Amino acid sequence: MATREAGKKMIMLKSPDGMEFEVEEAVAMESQTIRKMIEDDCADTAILIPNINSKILSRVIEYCNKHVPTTGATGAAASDTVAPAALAEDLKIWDAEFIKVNRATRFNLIQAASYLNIKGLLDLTSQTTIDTISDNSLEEIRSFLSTKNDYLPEEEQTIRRENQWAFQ
Amino acid sequence: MPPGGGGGGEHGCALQGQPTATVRRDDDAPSHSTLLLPDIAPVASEEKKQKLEREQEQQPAPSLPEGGLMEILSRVPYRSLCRFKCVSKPWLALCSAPDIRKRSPQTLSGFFYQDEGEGFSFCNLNGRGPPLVDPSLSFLSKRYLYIIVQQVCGGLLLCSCSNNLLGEACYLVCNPATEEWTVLPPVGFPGPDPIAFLGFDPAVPSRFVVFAPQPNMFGVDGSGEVAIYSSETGRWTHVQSRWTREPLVDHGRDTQVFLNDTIHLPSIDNIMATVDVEGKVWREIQMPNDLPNICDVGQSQGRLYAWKTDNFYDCQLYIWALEDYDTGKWTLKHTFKVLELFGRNCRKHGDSYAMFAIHPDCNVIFLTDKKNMTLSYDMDNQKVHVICAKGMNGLPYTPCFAELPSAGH
Repeated sequence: MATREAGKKMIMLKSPDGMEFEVEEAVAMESQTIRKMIEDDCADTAILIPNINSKILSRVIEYCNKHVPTTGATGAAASDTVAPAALAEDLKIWDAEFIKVNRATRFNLIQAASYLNIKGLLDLTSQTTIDTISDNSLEEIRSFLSTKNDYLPEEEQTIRRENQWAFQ
Repeated sequence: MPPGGGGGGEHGCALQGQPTATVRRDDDAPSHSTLLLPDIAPVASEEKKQKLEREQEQQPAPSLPEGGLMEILSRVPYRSLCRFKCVSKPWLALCSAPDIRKRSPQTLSGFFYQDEGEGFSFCNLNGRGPPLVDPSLSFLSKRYLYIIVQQVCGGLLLCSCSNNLLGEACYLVCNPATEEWTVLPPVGFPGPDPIAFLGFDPAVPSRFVVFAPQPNMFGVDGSGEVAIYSSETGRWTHVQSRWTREPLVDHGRDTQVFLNDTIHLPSIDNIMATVDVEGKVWREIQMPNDLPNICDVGQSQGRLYAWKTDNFYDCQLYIWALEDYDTGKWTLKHTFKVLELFGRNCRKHGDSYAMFAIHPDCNVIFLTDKKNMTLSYDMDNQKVHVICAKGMNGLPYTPCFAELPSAGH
């Protein structure tokens, strides 16, 4: 959890399961949804984040902490001395580690990123899922995304025939 | 269909023997919660113990909510969308939703070409399977007896249509992916409508433009006009040409380029004449080589390319890039021995080779021997793929699912 630093405005985020997270305003504003709330002055006390449990919310905050520009958790010195390219590379490695989570967590992260409107996190989580499923068979996709095949065999044959070019 | 048995007819990537192994190991944990779909339990059973342990700390919801699914689907290429349609009925609805299709990133999907035996045809980029689009344009053939496709630009086609070979033809612009079309009014020059050129940028799908230089425009009085049709106004605007000479466009080639709101027309005297959609900026760019043969042009990754195959000597292919658009500076980027790409030792008498297109999004070029082989060549990894056992001068096609601006139908 974020600690209070001098001169930094802090925002309280609350998950529906009752946990509270105190984060720097700049970090919270990585979320366009929260940014809008702050800008509209709807955020003077705590912001309740519906549908996102504390476990997922803490991971989202972890992501935002890492990705907040300029003075993040690592402090100003880091970005001054490290070349932007190296910094970007470091972020990429960090992202790759960050997204090594189980399927349920990842799906929850997609939903959270979508709701909170955090583009980077949404790109990361969606793309990882696309990479996982794009070359898989239909059956694997169904099982991976817990989707039921509700086609009748002849219906499936028809739809497969219509889209056969995409399977070649 | 039983789980695991459904991928039978599928492509080679379907790994039947490893139901969840293609999914990353650490993703497996709470794969099939009790909340969802007991009918796919077989793959889950091995993992149950692990799963139960981890599920204590997990939220039991490994199904992706629709909002998240939309986020994913709007990021996948059209080809994947079409495959995903076969997953289930709800997915069919999601993948067919116009909003998703519009957002789906599109890229080169194949080529329209004139097949001597079969007429207007379409060849998929990978060279296999039934064509992605119906080249007979059946949605138009109900209305017109004679349809000649003049040009393809991005996802739109400029056609000349009539019901009477001797009567006047009209121009229309159609989108074969959405089966919409717009009939253009007569250009307004004396005599039959002149050759026209289509300009469409998928990044700005709300507008297309058609350019029609007046034939013999540099007549005795030296005045010439170019008619420019914009789908935004729905009419032709006649603009006084500021080119110093009439571009003599080789109509057999169809390699005009629309880039940065400007049409680029290579002319047979080694000049590329350009004019923007407003009819305000006119230029003549000197082409890179000084040989009498006209270069073909194309665009890739936002840059203009020109190329030429030397069919007289050793079949060299030269590819230039317009490195500096403002000064018109071309740089020779590649030379290839075409015969090597076709795996042939020598050019037989009468053989002729041509590069006919460049991939708009990557460093891949397309070549044909005009007889029985058409191939793609990846300039990054030097890989050659045969895409068609025919010769073809293909017109590159990138599907577009945006609504046709001011579509009449």
